[in-house]
Parts: sequence; C-alpha cells; structure tokens
Amino acid sequence: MSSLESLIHSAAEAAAAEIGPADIPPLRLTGADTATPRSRHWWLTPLAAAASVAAVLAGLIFVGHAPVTGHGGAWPGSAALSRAQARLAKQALDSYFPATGAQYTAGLAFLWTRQKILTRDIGPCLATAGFQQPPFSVPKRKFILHSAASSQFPDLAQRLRTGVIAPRSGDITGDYARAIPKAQRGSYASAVRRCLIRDARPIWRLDKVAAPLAAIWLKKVGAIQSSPPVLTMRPGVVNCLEAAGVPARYAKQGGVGGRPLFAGFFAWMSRLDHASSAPGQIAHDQRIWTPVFVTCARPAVATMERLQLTERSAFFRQHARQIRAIRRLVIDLPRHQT
Amino acid sequence: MSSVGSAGLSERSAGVGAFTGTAAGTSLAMRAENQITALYRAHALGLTRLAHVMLSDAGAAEDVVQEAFCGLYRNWARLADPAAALPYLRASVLNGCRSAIRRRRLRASKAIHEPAAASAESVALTGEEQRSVLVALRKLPARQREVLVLRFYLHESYDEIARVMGIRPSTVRSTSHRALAALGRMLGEGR
Repeated sequence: MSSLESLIHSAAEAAAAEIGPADIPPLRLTGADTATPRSRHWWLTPLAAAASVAAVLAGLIFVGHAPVTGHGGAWPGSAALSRAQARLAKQALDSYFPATGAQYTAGLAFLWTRQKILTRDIGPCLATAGFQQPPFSVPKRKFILHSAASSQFPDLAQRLRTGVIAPRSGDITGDYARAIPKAQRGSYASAVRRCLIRDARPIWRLDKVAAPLAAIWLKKVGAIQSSPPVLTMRPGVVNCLEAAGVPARYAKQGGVGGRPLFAGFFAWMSRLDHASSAPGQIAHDQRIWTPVFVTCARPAVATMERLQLTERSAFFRQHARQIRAIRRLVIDLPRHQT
Repeated sequence: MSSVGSAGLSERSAGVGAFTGTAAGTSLAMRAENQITALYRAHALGLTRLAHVMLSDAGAAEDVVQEAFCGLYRNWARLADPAAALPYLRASVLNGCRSAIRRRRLRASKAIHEPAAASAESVALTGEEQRSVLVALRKLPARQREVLVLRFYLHESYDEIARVMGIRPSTVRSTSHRALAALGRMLGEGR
C-alpha cells in the first residue's frame, strides 16, 4: 500500500471511529413497505424556511384559489389604509431582510398576504395552463406558526408563547410545486412565469428587485451566524443543554452545513422524534424541551440578533435606493384581503 | 450521474408487498423482517461508518442506512440470493450518500452559503493531515470517491467494488488510478 493509500485508510478509519455501536438507532421497518421513512431532519426544515423568501421569489410559487375580495382595486387614500400600507411595507422588509426572530415572524405575515394575492391573480391563468391549484385556505396564524425558522431566526417569545419549537411545515404551506410530478415541473415553472408576468405584474416587479437583494442579505446572515462572536457562544449553549439533560453526544453535534449553534438541540429533538411511537409523544416532548431551548439559546440569540440588526441598518443604508423601491412596490400592491 | 448497481435484485416478484394478504404471506413477511433485523444487527455499524466517511454527518449517515434497510425490506422478495443483501445495502448506502450530497449542495446554493465546518468532536478526533485527506476525498467526483473508500477503507477487491457499483472491474481500476492521481494533486497543492 502506498503512503497515499494508507493515508486514505487512516483518514477514513478515523472518521468512521466517530460512530460507535451506541450511535446506531434501532431499525424501523414499520411502514417501510409503503413509504420511505420520515426523515429525522424535519427539525431542520425551518432552516430552509429562512431561505423561503428567496426561494419563493426565485419561482417556487405556492398558490391556491381561495376567493379574495377587492380584486384589482387600488389603495384608497384613507389614513387607516395608509397605516395598513405602512404595516405591509414593514412586514415585506422583515420578510426579505429578517434580522431577528420577531422580524422573521412578522415577515411571514407578508408571505401569507403575498400568497393570497398570487392565489387571486394567477390561479385562473395556471388553471388554464392545466395546473388547477388546490385551495389555499391556511389561516394566517397557522401559516406563521408552521413556518417558523428556529434554526436561523428563532423567535423565542413565540416559542415560549406557543410551547412548540419547530412544527412540521411541509403540509401547511400549500407548496403546490412540490406535489407536481417531476416530468411536469418544467412546464409548471414556465406557466408560473408566464402567469406572473401577465396577471401579477406588481408582484413580479417586486420579486425582480427584492429577490437578488434578499439573497445577498441571507448570505450576510449566514456569515454572521458562522462568525467568531457567535460561535464563541456555542460552548455555553452546549453546556446549558447538557445541564438540562440533553445527552452530550447530541448536545455537541455540529450539524449540517456549518451551522453548529443550535444543531445539538435539533439533533436531540430529531432523536426524540425518531424514538416516539405515539403522535402525542412529539407534542409532549416539545412542551418539555421548548423552554430548555429558549433558556439555552437566549444569550446566543441576543448576540446574533444584535449583530444582525447592526448589519441590517448598514445594509439598508448601503442599498437605500432599492429598499425605497421595494417599499414603493409593496405599497403599490393591489388591495388584498387580510 | 449514474446510480450504483442493483447488486443482486432479480425481477421475480414485486417486493415485500407480495408477501402480504395471506397467512403464508404474513409468515414470509415476518421471516423477511427477522432476516433483515439480523442483517441490521450485523452490518448497521459498518454501513453507518461508511456513510459517515462519505458524508461527515452522523445524523445523515444514520438516515441513509435506515433508508437502505427499508429499501431492502421493500425489495426482499426480489432478492435472488440472500448473500447479495450486503452488496445491495452497500449500493443503496452509496446511492443514498450521493443523494444526500446533492441535496446538501442544492441547499448550499440556495442563499445559505456557509463554510463547511467540522464538528468540535470530529476536530478533536481527527488529525490535521487526516482531515485534509477527507476534505480532498469529498471534493472528488462521486464515483472516484466511492471507489477509493471501498478500496482503501473497506479493502474490497476490484471485482466486489465493480459488483456493488454496477460497473466493470477494469473501470474500477482505471477510476481508482485517476482518483489517486487527483487526490495526490489536491493534497500536494494544499501543502
């Protein structure tokens, strides 16, 4: 064996040795004959939700055909509607450029509204193209709760209030695109683009301005969350989790894709989810562990959010022209049902 | 990117679903379950380690192995020879790792760009040189990476690797040669 070959062997052996017999979970064959077992990584789904703004804007449109009143109307100029306009504009900016958990949650209200508008505007066009959308009738509160991003933008107040840490979001967002057979996804994407340009031009224009900027912002957030000031908080989070009873080998897990801060907690929740046999067990585990997460995450979240808020102010100054344009485009969106 | 070979599956029946519906079927299903559970006891650790070498992510490695065993359960009745179960599982694990890497790359390309960071545990357990070998290994194309791991971690023969990967032994040899050269270049540049 050459030295390179022995090096491969020893490197692989060393990596393999990180897995011990105790790490092997019991085999689950229940339901294996009908479906692939549920991934234990659904706890990380909200991580993707954090990028959902960019993803939605990149063309992953989820729409339904719930009736929306006030079709095509312009904003009347009353003072009450001005407040509504201002609120919507703020929610939109929070949605594209969240710096805190609370902002992320507020931004979800805009996403919900956007979805309603899309439902109204491009549903008929998509139906003509052969893509009859399922009804989108998700209540706003439910949509917001189920789209939480506890890995990246944990809203600790919301977590404490609701007692849940990361509800499964896959079946609540009405992500119709995911249900489309693979072979039809190309034509679906083309139909969405065509309908968006034809029937939802204000949203299309908003997307064109906001999506690239939102992607830049999310990169900045990623950089902050991987930066030394945030990562130095990790031992504190790990110690706190261990003190609360999370086994060390979960508490210390580094997670996927270099987002290690709360990875240990989510690894533990995934393990509990994996081990739970009754539906009520998951809810029970969440009630127990949500306050632990809030307590252990609080100092790190405070540091993270402080840095992100400072960065956001600088980002808004740096891109003031585009931010103004986004605000204007949101305010110009047709009247919607909230 | 092609997926690795079917490693021993025949087309003689339609999977474990074919067991169900009758008393005899139920008994066959139970026997299959017992056999697969025994296989799991014997090989889950090795396969999870293999997946972990490929993915550097213990959770994802466990998922890949669970899915491989579920796949085996679904296809048990199609398995021509129970001795082919292990190659089948290895092939499934390698396929699962490829999918996991693809999903990870897709996620990374969608707005969340972060440097790949090793866990504190893995940093402590793995030396600097070994870590750079693993990093270089993961930069290789999937087929080259799989050939090197099967050859130099599991010490499989070229014929066995060919069987697991569904390619010719001569292709395994040439892939191994190219992969070693590429790895050597990468490590040389890194030094």
